[in-house]
Amino acid sequence: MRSLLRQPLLHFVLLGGLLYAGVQRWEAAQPGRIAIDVATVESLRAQWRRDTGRWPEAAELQASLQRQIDEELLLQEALRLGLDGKDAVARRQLLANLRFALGREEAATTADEDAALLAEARRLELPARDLVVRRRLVQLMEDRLLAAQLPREAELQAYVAARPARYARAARYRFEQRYFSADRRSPTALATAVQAAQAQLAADPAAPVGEAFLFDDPAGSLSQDEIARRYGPEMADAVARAAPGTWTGPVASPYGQHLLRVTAVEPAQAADYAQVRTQAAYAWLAEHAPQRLRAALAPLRARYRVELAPELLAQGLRA
Amino acid sequence: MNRDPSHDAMRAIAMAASLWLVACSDSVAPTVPGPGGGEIRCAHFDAQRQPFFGDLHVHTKYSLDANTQGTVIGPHEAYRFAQGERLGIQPYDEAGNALRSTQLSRPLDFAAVTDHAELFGETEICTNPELEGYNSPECQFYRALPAQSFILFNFLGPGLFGLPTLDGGETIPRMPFCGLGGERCLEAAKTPWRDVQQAAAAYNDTGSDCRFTSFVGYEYTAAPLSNNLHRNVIFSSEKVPELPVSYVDQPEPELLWQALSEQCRTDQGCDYLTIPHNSNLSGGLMFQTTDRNGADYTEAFALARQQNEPLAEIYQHKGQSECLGTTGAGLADEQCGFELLPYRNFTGSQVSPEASGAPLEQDFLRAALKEGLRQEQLTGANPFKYGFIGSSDTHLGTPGLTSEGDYPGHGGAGGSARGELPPGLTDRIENSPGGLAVLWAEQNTRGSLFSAMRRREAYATSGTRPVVRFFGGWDLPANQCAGRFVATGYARGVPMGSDLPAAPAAGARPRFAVSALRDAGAAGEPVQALQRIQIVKGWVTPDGEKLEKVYEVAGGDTGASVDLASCTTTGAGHSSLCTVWEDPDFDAAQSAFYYARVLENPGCRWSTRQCLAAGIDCSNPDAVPEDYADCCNADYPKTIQERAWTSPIWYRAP
Repeated sequence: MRSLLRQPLLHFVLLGGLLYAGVQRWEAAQPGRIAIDVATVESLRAQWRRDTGRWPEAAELQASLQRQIDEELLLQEALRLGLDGKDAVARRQLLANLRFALGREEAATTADEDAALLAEARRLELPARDLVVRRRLVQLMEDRLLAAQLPREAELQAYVAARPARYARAARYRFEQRYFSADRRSPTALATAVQAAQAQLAADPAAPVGEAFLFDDPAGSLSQDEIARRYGPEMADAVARAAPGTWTGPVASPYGQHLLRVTAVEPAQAADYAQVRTQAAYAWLAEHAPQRLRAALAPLRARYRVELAPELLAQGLRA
Repeated sequence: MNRDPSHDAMRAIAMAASLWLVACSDSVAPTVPGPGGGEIRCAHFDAQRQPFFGDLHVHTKYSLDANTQGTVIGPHEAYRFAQGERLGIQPYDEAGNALRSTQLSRPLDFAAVTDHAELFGETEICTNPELEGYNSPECQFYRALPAQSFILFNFLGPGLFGLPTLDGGETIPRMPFCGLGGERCLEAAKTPWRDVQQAAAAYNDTGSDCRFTSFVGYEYTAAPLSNNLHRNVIFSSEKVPELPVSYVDQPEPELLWQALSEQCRTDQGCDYLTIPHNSNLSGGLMFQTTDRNGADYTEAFALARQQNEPLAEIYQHKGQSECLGTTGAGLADEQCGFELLPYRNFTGSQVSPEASGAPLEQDFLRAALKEGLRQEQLTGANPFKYGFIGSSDTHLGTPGLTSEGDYPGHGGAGGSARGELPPGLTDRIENSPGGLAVLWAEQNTRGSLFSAMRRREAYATSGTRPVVRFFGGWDLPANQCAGRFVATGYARGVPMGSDLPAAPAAGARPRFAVSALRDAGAAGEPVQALQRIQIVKGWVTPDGEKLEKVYEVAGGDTGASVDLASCTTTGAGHSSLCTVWEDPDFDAAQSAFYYARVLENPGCRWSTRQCLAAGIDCSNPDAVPEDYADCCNADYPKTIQERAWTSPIWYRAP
């Protein structure tokens, strides 16, 4: 234990940890500042009108202001993390802007020059002004926050369990059928043929009665939905009601009459979580992204000072 | 190394959320062990295959021409609609409530959202005030006059021919607000593309019920001078390129294929195919026989085209592309008049039919298939070896909404429904609800369905759901219909989309077995019984003459009729039809193709139903409101004979 405490590596790690904690504290004590002026809110109002053809209600304006503040906050966080220089797309766009502005050829810039150009871009507030870079940085930050906001396993299990129509396994049936076409017979002749076949099946359940049918005996086990789409709703009902093992019917379909014998029933079951987990996670993400993002933004907000112009506060707008 | 798979999956999702969901290199969704390439074995698995009904051509809010018409439905909502959920659709009132709603009377088995890649960026830029370009004149024009901007975008964007650049490559100028080189639009395109992929991942059923399959896809929207060269690109899995390869990036179909083959590599788990549509509106370009440099096709080029696009849309919202019924060989086939648009490109719908010109026979698939046989004679390979599917091309985000009843319009390339429901017919009189794609597959999974597309075991319907099987072979038994039709078909022949093997002996004639069941129907959806089955043969003589013939093989005139005053139908039809047909005119020296066309009894067309509901009386022209004038337009039929077209079976002369 003693020798362990003398290890320089441990000292290094401890010192590093202390430094890191200090920096964190210092950073937390140096909140960024986000100032919202009257012009910003006016442009939000104008955008709303362009999109909807009317001016926003107070609550709507407050919501779009909140989005504007969040975006500003995400942007500042992205810049704090240096993503404008690290993300390839943002970097390329900023360099292209400056090279274009300064009239330089792409090949003419070295790594050092690139670094200088990026510093210049920051000085000119290009990451915030170039809307492609701005949007890219905001999106990158959103993605980072959302990555830490994935559903917990129990949460996702509850999500799957609450949506049986989408994820649970339906009851399934295996069955055989004997078909009698209504096309080429009178109703009486059809009834006679079916009755004769029933008598034969009663004597020999494997009797080869009936006519060829394109959907003869399904190879797999089918749900009621699948049976209804293939043979019509009457067959789906009849299969679900039939006592397994014996021939029943006749049942009408759009094609004629069928006798049927259910050979196996698999009752409905809860979702197989392992099978649908990934699929459900994507659905969950799509549904929860906005609310999760808001939750992830809350601690960030505490670290920023948002200042609204006095006129805006007088209008009842809040940060 | 032994890793917890659930941990891996979560990590993968975290990556998807934090990075891009995309990337050919990252594994996002873990595969479930089971037969067939790591896919699960579905409860309904059938080795002899079953029909799955779907729609591979669906536009949502990410397509500019949908967005201009007030469509705000995104890919997530579109996939839920395909699975049977009720959906509110345009127009919307000021509070954002949908003024109409719609629902499928029966869900689809699969679908792909295919928004226009070229306009992803432009739409997003114009509707997202955070983006530079939002205040550009083009965007202001778009927001002020959305309907007109469809023309503007199409004529200034994808509507232009590629302008030559110094290095010999080609580029299409993007809208000016996309910035130098178009980077701005490329970046903006990332968000819709990601949403499209996430929606596909969220609604692709990976459980053993296999209720629904989604495909990641997009539309490659090439329309030089408004001649349609559009293709839908469908990916086999969640592994797709970082950005969709668009017409703006790759202004020729062969450049698209080249770029896709580089960015979507099978050794990285990425695979794709492209499905051309509306060749009827291509102004003579879709089935040209020269490459982009004007050189004749070579064998390698033909094989590449065949490999990249095994299927074509033969029918959709903007008409059929089977055969031209007004001139040429199609004149002899009265069924070529079916849902035929009277112009040859988009100028016909956007400006006037006269400005477009009459449709061209070479733009229809039957002519292309014949030319394909001719090209095979010349170069050794057939460039136009197309199987058939149908789809809707809905611009409302409503996959599979193809019934003639309660048709809300697809809003494609025209009619706007922003703010209020426009009076009159819900679509242009020449348009229709469109069709469906049917795939014969073992089970309803991406892998199984994609394989069916590759081998062209597919057929098209005009929107209803008849079931059709089609086999060809040299020794199919004459009594196949009375026995195990399917087992015999696979054992002694080949299914739709295949090549006949070489003739077993001199003097042998090929037989074709076709079996059809009527659409079983659903509550509230008008469906008719079957009327007849025809086999269409196209062939080429050794000296290059291209010929075609339609054979009546089963059923016939049923005497069924439609009362146009009520849309009720009377008379009998067939619930099923089946036959084995031998080609009486077979000549082993002539390469040929054969496909089956299954016709239903006639019913009322969508427009007739709406005119009837509106109480339009054409015997009193002065009383007909202007918005309903087309109810009395004698150029368009009052009835429709719904149908199915199977993929062809080919015979190659030695």
